[in-house]
Amino acid sequence: MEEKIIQLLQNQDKEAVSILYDKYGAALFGVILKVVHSRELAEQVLQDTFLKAWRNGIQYDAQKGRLFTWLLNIARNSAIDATRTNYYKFYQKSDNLETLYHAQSDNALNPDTLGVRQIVQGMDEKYRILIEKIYFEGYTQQEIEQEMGIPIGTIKTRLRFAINELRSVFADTNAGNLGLILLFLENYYSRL
Amino acid sequence: MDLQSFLQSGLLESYSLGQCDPTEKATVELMLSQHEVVRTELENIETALEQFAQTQAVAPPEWMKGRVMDMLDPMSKPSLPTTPNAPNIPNGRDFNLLSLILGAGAIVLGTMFFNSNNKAKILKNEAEKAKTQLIDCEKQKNTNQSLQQQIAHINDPATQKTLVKWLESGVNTEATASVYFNSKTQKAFVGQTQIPTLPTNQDYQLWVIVEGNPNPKPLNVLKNDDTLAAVNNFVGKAQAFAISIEPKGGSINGKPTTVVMLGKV
Repeated sequence: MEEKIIQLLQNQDKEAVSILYDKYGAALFGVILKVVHSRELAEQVLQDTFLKAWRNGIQYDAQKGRLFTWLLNIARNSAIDATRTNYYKFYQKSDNLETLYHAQSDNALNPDTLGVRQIVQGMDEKYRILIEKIYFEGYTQQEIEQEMGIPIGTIKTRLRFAINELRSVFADTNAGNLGLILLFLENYYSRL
Repeated sequence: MDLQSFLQSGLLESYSLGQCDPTEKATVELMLSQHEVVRTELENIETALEQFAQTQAVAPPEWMKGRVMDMLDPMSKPSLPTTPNAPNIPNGRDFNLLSLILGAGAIVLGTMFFNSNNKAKILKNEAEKAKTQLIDCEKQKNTNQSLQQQIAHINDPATQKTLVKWLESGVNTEATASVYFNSKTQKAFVGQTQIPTLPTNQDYQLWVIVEGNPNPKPLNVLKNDDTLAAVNNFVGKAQAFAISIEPKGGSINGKPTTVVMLGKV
């Protein structure tokens, strides 16, 4: 399936974007929303993400990573850039309450999202903070180094551990299986 | 860097999050091209991150997909070219800030231009209106002054009204003209009512017969309206006023052609 999408994308076939949107649109929107904290701006960033994917699809190299990772990084970087503009501040002021309302509503309707944040919250702080900073606040490793005084090498090692924890969760369960996620949490706490 | 150290370095995780610098990125891509185990490891990391992202999915608005697809139209392709050798996994924060700023700037400038242009148009219109009103006021003022002078002239005890009547009874018995002559100022005004309209090649002309001079003196060519017109100056005591029909522009020889109306002072 991924090969077919890549072929369509590199042929500049709009169908590729249609498939990518259906497959990954919601996941990307969720990540973007967590970074920008503004529903209206998140919508713009999501549009921008797919537009960039379509424009740059011909340069995508499957040997260097998965299609979703490529898309996710476009989305995250776009979202992070959006938060660093004055434009963002404008949206943040006008959209915070609405976004908060929608985000809560959306998450409440999506059982897959339940508990995941809690998994992250349950991690050792030195790992959790990396996930928080990188995934939800859009920090670069350099910025974390400067702000927290943690050497880049340590950040990379801790990030590896944090992702390994996630891998162990998803290796044992489907992404939306809350019960197994909670089981992971219990196992995780038991090791502490 | 040996394979094991590389796998434990966290570089692959950083790479998958787009957080490598160019040197690290080159190292990772070299290792990827050389070791299957590295490719598998990256695949596993990316799968975990994908699953992690999927658990945070929030449905975008329903209209969003249509808008995204509309944006793919060739007409909406970017004016800013993309870098030919752009990395597969983007390190740069390539959010289209420039287009955002330019867009917002264009809207602001457009709005400012529209507003200022609009204001300029409004001001111009107002100025034109004021100018027209001023001209109208001047005209009205002149008219008022003229009317006041005429009223003062008519009401002056030294002013005598002479009714100039049609000579041929039964033709235009109702047609009259009035000449208001002031013996002190030697000025006169003339007004006519209900005088039959002449062919376009003819005009009515006013004449005055001064005491002691049998030849009528030509005065105004009358306008075909109801306003009072100042009568041209003449010297002497007026005994009668007459109106004749003349070729267009008035008598050409200083003598009336056909006298049709007469009024004795």
